[in-house]
Amino acid sequence: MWVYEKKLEYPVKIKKANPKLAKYIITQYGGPDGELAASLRYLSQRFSMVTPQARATLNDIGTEELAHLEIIGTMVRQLVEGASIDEIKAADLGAYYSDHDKAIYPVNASGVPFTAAYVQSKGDPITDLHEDMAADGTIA
Amino acid sequence: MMMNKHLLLKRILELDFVAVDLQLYLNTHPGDKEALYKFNLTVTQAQMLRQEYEKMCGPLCSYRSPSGYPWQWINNPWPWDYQFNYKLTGKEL
Amino acid sequence: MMYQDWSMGNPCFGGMGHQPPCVPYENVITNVKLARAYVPFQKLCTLYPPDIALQKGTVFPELYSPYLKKKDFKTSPLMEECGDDDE
Repeated sequence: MWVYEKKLEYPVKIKKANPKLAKYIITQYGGPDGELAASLRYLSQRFSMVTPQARATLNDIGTEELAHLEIIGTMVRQLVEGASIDEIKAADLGAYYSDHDKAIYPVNASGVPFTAAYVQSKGDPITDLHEDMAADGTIA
Repeated sequence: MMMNKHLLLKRILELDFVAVDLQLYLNTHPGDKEALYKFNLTVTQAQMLRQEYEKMCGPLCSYRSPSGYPWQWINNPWPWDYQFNYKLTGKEL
Repeated sequence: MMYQDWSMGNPCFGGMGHQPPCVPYENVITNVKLARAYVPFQKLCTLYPPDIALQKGTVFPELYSPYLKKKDFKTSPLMEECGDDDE
């Protein structure tokens, strides 16, 4: 089960609204490579793992990704909270605003809503681990 | 040990982060004595700071610590609020 | 408040010379099969102190991998071999 601690894993203190930035950052919330996808991927795959090491690893990484989800949501919220409607429209967030106001809703940068199609959970531990590395491993 | 709540929070975030990273390492290296020793050291320190923080700011968890009256858990600010978070030093990498 | 400072200065990551006493990963993988991918096993060497660890996003220097602007690629630590197999 999950326990919630009333703190962010990393602080977010954004004073100056920046809806333009928010439009891009929200993809880390509800997009294909975002933290929601990551959490769901790990927390779903963990059931198929066999060794204690793999079960623990997927369980705990999935949990941590939820913490990251909270951070991204906070960032988007603070970037948009103090913005005027004109600033929001200028940032090309007018369509999002029509449906969601300044709320946080899981979409990618184009406004496409989150879908489980972003994750995979195939039942074979090695296969799933490859999916994890492909999804999570970013090489600069 | 008098720390303001933001500084206390910062220390807890730092120690918790180290603990989590070490915990993830230990998941795949259960026989690593050195890592385990460092992990135990970290959580012991974090526990002390956590108690201090809760005394000052109320419970960190909704159902694990006693609460003052009236029920403190619901109090603002919440972690996603601007004022909940401490200012970064500006020297961040 | 006492902090555990474990930053003993792993020379592999910008410290004291070119003879690292501690390599944070195995560099020989044995018993491999065809058409399989393998990932080197991590070994514990040094840890960042807590405040630096939180800023960098990892407590392990060997896992610190920041995004770089294209112009910084050539001089990035990632482009240098460090304690690797020269044999």
